[in-house]
Amino acid sequence: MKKIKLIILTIGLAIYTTGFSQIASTNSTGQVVTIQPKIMVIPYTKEGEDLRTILENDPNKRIAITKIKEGFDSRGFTTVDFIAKLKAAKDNNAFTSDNQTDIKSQIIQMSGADVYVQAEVIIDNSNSGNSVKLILTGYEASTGNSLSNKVGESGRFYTEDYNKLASKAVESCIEDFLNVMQTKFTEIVNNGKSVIVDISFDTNSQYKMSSEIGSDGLPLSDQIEAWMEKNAFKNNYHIQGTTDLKMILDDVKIPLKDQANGNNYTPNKFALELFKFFKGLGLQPAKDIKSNTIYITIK
Amino acid sequence: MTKILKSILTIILLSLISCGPKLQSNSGEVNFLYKDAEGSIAVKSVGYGTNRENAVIDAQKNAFKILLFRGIPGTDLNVPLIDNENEAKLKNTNYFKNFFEEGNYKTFMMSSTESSNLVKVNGVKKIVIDIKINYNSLRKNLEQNQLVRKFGY
Repeated sequence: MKKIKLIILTIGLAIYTTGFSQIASTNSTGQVVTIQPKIMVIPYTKEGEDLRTILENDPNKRIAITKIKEGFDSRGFTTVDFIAKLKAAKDNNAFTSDNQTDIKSQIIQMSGADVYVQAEVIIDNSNSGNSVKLILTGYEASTGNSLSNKVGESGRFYTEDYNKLASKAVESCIEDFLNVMQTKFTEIVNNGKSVIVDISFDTNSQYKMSSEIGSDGLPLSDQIEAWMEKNAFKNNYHIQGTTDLKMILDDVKIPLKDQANGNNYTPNKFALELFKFFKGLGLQPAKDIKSNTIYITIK
Repeated sequence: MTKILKSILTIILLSLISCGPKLQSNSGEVNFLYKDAEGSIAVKSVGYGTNRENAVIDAQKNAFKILLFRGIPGTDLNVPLIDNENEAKLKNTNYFKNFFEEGNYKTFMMSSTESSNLVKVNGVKKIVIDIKINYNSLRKNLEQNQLVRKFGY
């Protein structure tokens, strides 16, 4: 009997340790590489313009985008290829709507890009020569926070080689654009990255934001804020608004690295902590994570 | 009496030395010239020294100091390559010793030409030189030596 118990215990222990230990073939001996943001360069489109045909028919836009990507490459940074994503999306019939703005959002969402850079190419013809202007804007996809903005100009030349002019316009501002973006990245490394937390209730839920809950009987919204105050990185969070049925925190900072063990810290890990907090209050939460947005639904 | 004379002479000598020409180190006299290829920049830099060689070296070092710690307005490099000068110097004494004193900065210098004659100003020699710097390679070197972070997080 004792022998059987010992065998069961040994097998159990073996299963437990193999379940949580690192696979030998992926063991990096404790080395942690910071997860880099995914950056995608996209063309600017006006309302109603077809994103695909705009890019396919306009070589100047393609050149501008390629030159911008070259700028990122020269800094040793790989971007998500917009054209490849567009083709993949086309092949997979990923686009369901005719609305072009929606297609743009769909590509951004599908690519999982954290940052997107929008490039607007403006051609200016005049008697004193032709020029190309470029408006470059970099955004954080989840929050819409602006990361870098620059206007580039090719200068005026008596030429109709717009490809070359587009190239010159990019060259005139890309370095500066990347420098500003890098300053913002440094800020993120030091002060944490933004996630959005959206807390709502299931239609059949008996709870509301005003429900007094927990051992101290505080309203749920205040319990949430007290938790955020304690757990947002460097106490940095912003509440967009609270109603009885919803609470949106549009900017909650989380660290890039786990402050306890130095491993990468993802929105998923933060969502898990939030999940545990709601469980601790005796609630039944469900969590969903889409890029940098955490959705919590209380049943 | 001789003691008093000696003291007076010493005071005169000391005051003469202190009133002598001073080298203007760490001046910000570096200006943008042109940018003809991606990743390189040409600047005009002023250097001071006791002779031509020292003045040229001073101008070259000055150009790099401005690029690293100050930035050059009106260029792609209007922000310094290194954010915090004091912290970087404190943490990387060997790097900067090799860079400036051992002349490692010269490996990032594509060309250096004198653009003025050697002139005497306030008792020291002054020279203006045009230097072309490979700043892409310099940035990579700073990244490899962990003086600056790579692009991204």
